[in-house]
Amino acid sequence: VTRYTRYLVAASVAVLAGQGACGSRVDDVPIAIDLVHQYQDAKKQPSAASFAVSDVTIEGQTKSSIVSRGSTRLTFHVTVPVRGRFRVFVASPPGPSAENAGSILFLVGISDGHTYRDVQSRELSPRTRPSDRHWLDVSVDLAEYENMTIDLILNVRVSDGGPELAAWGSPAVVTR
Amino acid sequence: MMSRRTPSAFTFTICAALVAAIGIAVVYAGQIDVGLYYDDYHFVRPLFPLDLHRVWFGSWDPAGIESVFYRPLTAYLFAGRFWLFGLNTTAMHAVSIAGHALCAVMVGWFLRREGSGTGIALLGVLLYAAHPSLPQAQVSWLTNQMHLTESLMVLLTLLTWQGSRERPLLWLPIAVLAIAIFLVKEDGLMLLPSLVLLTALRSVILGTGLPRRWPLLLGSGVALCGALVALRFERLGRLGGYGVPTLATGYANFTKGIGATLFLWPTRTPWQAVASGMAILAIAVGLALGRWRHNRRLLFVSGLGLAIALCFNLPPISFPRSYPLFAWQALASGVAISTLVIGAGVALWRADRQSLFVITAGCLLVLAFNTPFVLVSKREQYHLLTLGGVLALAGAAQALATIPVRPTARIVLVLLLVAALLPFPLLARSQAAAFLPCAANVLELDKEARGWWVVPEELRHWMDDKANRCRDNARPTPLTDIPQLAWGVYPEGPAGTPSGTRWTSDRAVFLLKRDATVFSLALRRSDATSSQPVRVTLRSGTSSVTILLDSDEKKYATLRLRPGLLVTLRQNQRVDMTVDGWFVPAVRDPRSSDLRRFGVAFDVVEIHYSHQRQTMSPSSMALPISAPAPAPMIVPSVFDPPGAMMLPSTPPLMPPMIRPVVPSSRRQ
Repeated sequence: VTRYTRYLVAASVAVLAGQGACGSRVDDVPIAIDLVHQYQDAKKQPSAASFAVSDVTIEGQTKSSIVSRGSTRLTFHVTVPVRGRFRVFVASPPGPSAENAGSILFLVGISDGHTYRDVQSRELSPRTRPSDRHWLDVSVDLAEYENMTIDLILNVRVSDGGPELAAWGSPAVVTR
Repeated sequence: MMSRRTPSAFTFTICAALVAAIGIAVVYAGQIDVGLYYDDYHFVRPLFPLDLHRVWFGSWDPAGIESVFYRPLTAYLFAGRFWLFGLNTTAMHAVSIAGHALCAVMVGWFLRREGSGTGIALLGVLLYAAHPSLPQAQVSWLTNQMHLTESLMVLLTLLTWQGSRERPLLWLPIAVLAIAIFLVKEDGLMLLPSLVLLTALRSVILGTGLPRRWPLLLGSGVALCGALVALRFERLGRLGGYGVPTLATGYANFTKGIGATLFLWPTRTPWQAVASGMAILAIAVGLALGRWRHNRRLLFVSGLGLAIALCFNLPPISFPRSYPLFAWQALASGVAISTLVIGAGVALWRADRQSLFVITAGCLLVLAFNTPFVLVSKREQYHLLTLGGVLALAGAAQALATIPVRPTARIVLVLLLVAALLPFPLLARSQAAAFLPCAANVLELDKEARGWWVVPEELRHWMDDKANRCRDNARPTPLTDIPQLAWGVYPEGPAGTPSGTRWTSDRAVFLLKRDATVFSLALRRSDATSSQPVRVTLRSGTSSVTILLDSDEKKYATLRLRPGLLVTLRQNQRVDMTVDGWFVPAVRDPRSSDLRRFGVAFDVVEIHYSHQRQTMSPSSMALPISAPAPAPMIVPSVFDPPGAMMLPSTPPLMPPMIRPVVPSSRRQ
């Protein structure tokens, strides 16, 4: 039993060490594609007037962001680097009618030209949930699409009475 | 224990192979032919490195046609199969038959090692070889070679388990096999739980005791299963498959698999009535022969109860119907239920622990591998359930064989058993016939497959031709007779390029007729310059040629094709093209939505054959090669898309034509 126990402990330590080395360092990783810089090239729906680039400060944290108003879609062509990962912070900054009690849904989708799929979603209700009044970290592993050109699609869906503004903070493709 | 008359391992293997061959011949002779069936049309194709990378991180089908599953090894299996056989469906079906025969022999081995007599082990081989569930699940449908692979691996694991039950370290190969099986198909997850339960069952029924370090083995098994499920979910980012059914549908799914494989339960109620009637008769005879014994009352009452319960299935026998009452499906089901019930009854009556273990082991495998099918249950995925069903039937037959009777009566019993099993291969034969190229359902599904974006144009023309031939009662031509097939090519270029010229992706694969000796292409990229050249490499076997495009001028690439082992296996010449310097329109122009990779514009100029010459180009475009003396020109066959092989006489640069990438969808 002693020998097996040793193997098990060694394997567990190795797994935990590996996780420690690979995880929790999202902020430090190098940015391969800064999507704020590519904002001009992105396809904007329903119209460019629904979007703006600005620095948004929430809870004392300022991030260069793409801000949208209402339900929108932003599509970036991205050629995914090796070990690529999409990282963004989402939040709903206070708008003119900040007392809205509804929710706002952030959806990240990917199209490879043949199929589309939602890969991440976050629903925020900043009026009713205090924890939604911060920047929320969203991260999508793009390993499946390594070396491919894909459409990275950022959707915002606003429910009735939901917040008007959505902020995509520091959107970027990073390498792990 | 095996008696002294037990044949040697070699003799047994030869006998088992012969029995398997007989069973397979009865079922599949003349029932396997050229052609593909449904999913085959997009799985029988080359998978490029990008696809092979993607399958480790997402769906097994990067084309997005299939439902989402995590089966990376299956994708590699299909890629390897295409590399080896191309479109030679005859060879691929031969592999299926050989693999199925190997599985059947391994079933015999499993039974023999569990103490079954040689006759029973060979009966198991025969039952497996001719089982009606398997044409669809692993023999006649090329896509289901993944099931065949899974069956082979599961049987190999079961044989390994038989040799390593007492030695914990030998469970390591089992763990490796379990991981591999899971990466072939997800229902392989149930293998480790099945082995754990089989070990426990053996301990309870045969009193063998549990292996040393049993808790450690149990814990490791649970951890490994959990890790595999977590890996799948992490890689797919979702449950995948067909979604979660309602409780009622889940229950119906679960019972469907058990009924279909243990009892061969028919789909029509009048046939269910016939099967039930046969089982009632068998139970009645069994009870009459057993008579009332004080110490077997419970068993007697159970048999009686089962017979009464089966009576509820009888009324539909009088329902009006437009089909015969006595069909192979009904008779096979009646035989299966009767054999199982009477065999289990005899094993319990006589406390025959060996037979009881084999019966319960088979049932356990059915239950275990049926569990994932709560989500969705389809007959084409019952290959592992069938394995359990065959073991249970063999166990029941083993119990019947232990009844002490006179030699003459034994011969009569054996003859009765063989006659009773006849519906099995005959039903299986009709199942296999449903996959013949001109079968109605095959032609109907061809129409759907024809619309998949991944199916090459030339293959679509072949499908049209096949439908016409079937209508005229003629045999479809082999796929290997198609003069030229290409994957990784587009019928038109990106927006802003002339129409009518085909383009390659960054990689393309061409299949040509086997006797092709020279393959010539005209290549062009209008934006190629000396500072940004485009390199195109053509490879076939050991031959290769590289062309550097450094201007917008057309250049010619000519590759000499040679015979070889792979050419024989494929019955085709294969040419691989790689383009360095490809581009994506959406990257060049953010307003474009075209995410495809484009290599070069091309035209097939000339294909020479060993005995004749086929010219695709205008005479003004003679090739810069020392071609053999011109032979009679061959008129392009009906498969050649009109104009697809003609090189425009002037370099075409026409106005842009945008063709959006149309997402495809398929069955749910």
